[in-house]
Amino acid sequence: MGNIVVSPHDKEGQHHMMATPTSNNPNGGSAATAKNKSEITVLLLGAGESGKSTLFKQVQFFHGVGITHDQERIELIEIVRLNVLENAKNLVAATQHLNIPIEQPENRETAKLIINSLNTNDLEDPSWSKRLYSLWKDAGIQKAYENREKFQLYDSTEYLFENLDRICSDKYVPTVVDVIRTRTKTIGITDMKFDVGDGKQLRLVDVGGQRNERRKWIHFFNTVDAVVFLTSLSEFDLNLYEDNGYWRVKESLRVFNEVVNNALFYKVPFVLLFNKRDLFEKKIATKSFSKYFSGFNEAEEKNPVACIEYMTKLFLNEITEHPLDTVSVKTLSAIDHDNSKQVFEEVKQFIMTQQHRE
Amino acid sequence: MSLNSTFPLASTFNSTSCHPLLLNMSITNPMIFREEFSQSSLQYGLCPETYIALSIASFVLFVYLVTTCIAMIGLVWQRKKTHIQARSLPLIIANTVANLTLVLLVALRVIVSKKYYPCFLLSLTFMLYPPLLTLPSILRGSRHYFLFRLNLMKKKVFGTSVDELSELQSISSMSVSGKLEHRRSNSSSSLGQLFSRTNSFSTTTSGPTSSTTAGQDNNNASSQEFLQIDEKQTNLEDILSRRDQLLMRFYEFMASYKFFITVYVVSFLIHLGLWAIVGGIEIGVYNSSGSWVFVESGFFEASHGCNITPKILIVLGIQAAFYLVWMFVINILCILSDRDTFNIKLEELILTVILIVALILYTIFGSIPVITTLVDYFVPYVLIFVVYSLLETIIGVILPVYYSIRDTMNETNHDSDKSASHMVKALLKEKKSLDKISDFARRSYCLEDVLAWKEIQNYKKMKKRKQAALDFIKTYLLPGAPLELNIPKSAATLANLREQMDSSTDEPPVNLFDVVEHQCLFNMTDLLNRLVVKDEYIAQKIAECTGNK
Repeated sequence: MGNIVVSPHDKEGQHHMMATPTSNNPNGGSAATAKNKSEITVLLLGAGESGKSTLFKQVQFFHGVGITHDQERIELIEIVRLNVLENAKNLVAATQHLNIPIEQPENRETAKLIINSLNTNDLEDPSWSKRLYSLWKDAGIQKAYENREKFQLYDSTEYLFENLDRICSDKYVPTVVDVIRTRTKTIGITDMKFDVGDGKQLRLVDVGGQRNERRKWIHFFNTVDAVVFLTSLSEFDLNLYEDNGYWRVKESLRVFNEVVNNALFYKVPFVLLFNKRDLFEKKIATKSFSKYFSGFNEAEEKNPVACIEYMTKLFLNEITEHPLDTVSVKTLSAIDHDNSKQVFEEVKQFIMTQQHRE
Repeated sequence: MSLNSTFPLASTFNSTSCHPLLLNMSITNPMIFREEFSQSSLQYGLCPETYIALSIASFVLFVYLVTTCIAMIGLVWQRKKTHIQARSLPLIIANTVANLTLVLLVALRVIVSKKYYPCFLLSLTFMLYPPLLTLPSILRGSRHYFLFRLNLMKKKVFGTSVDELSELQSISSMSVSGKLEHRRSNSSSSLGQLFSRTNSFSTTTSGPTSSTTAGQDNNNASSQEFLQIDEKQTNLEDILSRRDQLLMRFYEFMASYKFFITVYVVSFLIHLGLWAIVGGIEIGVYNSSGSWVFVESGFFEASHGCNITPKILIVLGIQAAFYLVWMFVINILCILSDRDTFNIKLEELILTVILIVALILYTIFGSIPVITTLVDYFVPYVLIFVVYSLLETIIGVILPVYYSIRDTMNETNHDSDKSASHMVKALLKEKKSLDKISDFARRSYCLEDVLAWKEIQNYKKMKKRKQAALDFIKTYLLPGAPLELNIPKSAATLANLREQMDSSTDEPPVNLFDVVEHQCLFNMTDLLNRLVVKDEYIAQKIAECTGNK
């Protein structure tokens, strides 16, 4: 089962594979020579699950690459269903871990099957749609879901469960939204190129965000022309995937500090994107934001603008070396196609303007 | 020993050694007795024996033997699995042999008939009771305790980075984290070199110049170089002081099968010697006083059976006291040590409690005359020890085998459910696609998953796995390791692996890295999604795989 992100027929805006490390650097320069280059390398950085690959997929999508064609999305059925199973497993495991019983006996049966034997091929059978949905609606599972900050769960959980009737069918073809919503942990580094006018090409580099993956970012640090740093607004109550017990915000701030103050990036335009704004607004409606930030005024905690302002300050405070006038801060909801398109356009404009200024 | 046969029966025929009710019944209800009542049934301090005792003893022995057979089959089947390895196969077998000996000695006497069961075996049984009953518990407990000490020591020596990670978590102030990161890279002495040579991302904090050179350096770094780093490991001998080395050797010995085999053999020989000495003394006393002190008709009588006298309980008590003190000390040490994931400590404590209950019951029953002289001839209370042995076999062998089987079932289910990783596995097993995947992974900077997978395949074929497992952990799993893998909750995974390795001084189990392997395959699905677009051959292979389903 292949899962194609990009058309196998090489087209405009093709998906480039990394060249070998030695031959990797045709432009060979540092940021200082960037304006003379025909290729602008933009790095998407950020800790794990901050939305780098989601934005990457969106950019591919509105450049007509990859997931636009039904045929290519068919290859992603496996991944979508794997996501459904992962989510279901994590929820069931969480009910055990949090000592919340699954209430209905038939849902307990389903849970047992999920843990022990269910595989992605089984989901072709529409009866699973009902069973999984019934499990999802079980009071025990819902209670675990309300406490999802206590374990690892993908953001797409609710979306996938609400769309089970489509997914659990032998005629299922993932929609573009399905693909955007699907979580795949990026391993290593991947990139794509597309024209941005003036005979220039933009090369967008997507990377993995977990601790071990970040060590690989360094391979790109001296060829970079702009950095887009993503951080998730909705992670304020979550812990790390690779280290369950370490607060994600702290990790994001630490990574941001290391990247933004890196000497190689002094002269490079830097964009800080606060992603998952949609999730964030939903989350602060039910969860206390000020509980996690002692310096924040409790009275304002239901006001997303004030919260984002506070987060912005927190991140900008980390900047000690980088000139502030080449840093731009934006919010984003990467799963929203229109919003991604608009924000990415702004980011592109910002980077191009900075390039010209040099 | 022919002296005994000439000894007048009248002296043993007295009402204290046999309950009058029993004697009456043997005359009124002869069919439940094994032989018709006559003067000869009262020889050597014995009383008439019933079929009831015979059938109960046979039944209990039968149940015990069946259970032991099942346990042994399960044990042989699951011998390579973690749950069995953690409890040490030789120890389980040695304990089972001890239990079996005890059970046979106890039950056969009732079954064969006390009259014919050779007297020397009875006296030997009494001399062997203390070690046979307590040694399994003592050795299990001492092995658990010394493994615990050994691991504490290893932890001290290697100063695991896992600990520092948790330390990192507990510090709330964010400004300190940078320094800690730095500290982590200088942490354990044996790994210090590894960290500094692999320029982990954290080193970029130390300054712009170093990060630039690091970047270029790393560009040329190939997997070859990573492998060389491995050779730079420091030996155990260099880190440990002489005293610690000796201490570590001592702990290792105390937890090894050499120790408990030695204990069994030595204690058996000692008790055999004691048996000979006590028997000799008894003959001496008999020659001068004319009465048997411990066993009616003497320790070494082989031609017929006999009964004990209460005085042998004194000899038994002295020996038992020594073993009980030993057992209590070991169990207290066990209570003080940390809990293990395999529940060995819990098992040990439960079995000790059961043993103590059995011993108390045995003592109480033995001191109530109506039980020893009447009830015992219908329900032999000595069978308490057989029941104890049965429970020990169930808790100490059958349950671990069950856990092991249960885990294996879960694992196999787990393996089949991920058809995606199944497919990756199929591709990796084929030379050409493996080469293509390796090449693509190298160019995408995620060769570590492929290398780790290969390494795990090698590991599984190895005979001597211990060093390989340590190397693997150092190369792929420690935070900041040269080829650190992207796995969830890495600290917990690492702690779990360590515990599995530490639970035995023997070779670590073959399936030690199954979870990691699974994660590698899972990680590679992302890589494959990208590769399938680029490579016709892989695309075709994948199509074949899906077609076969």
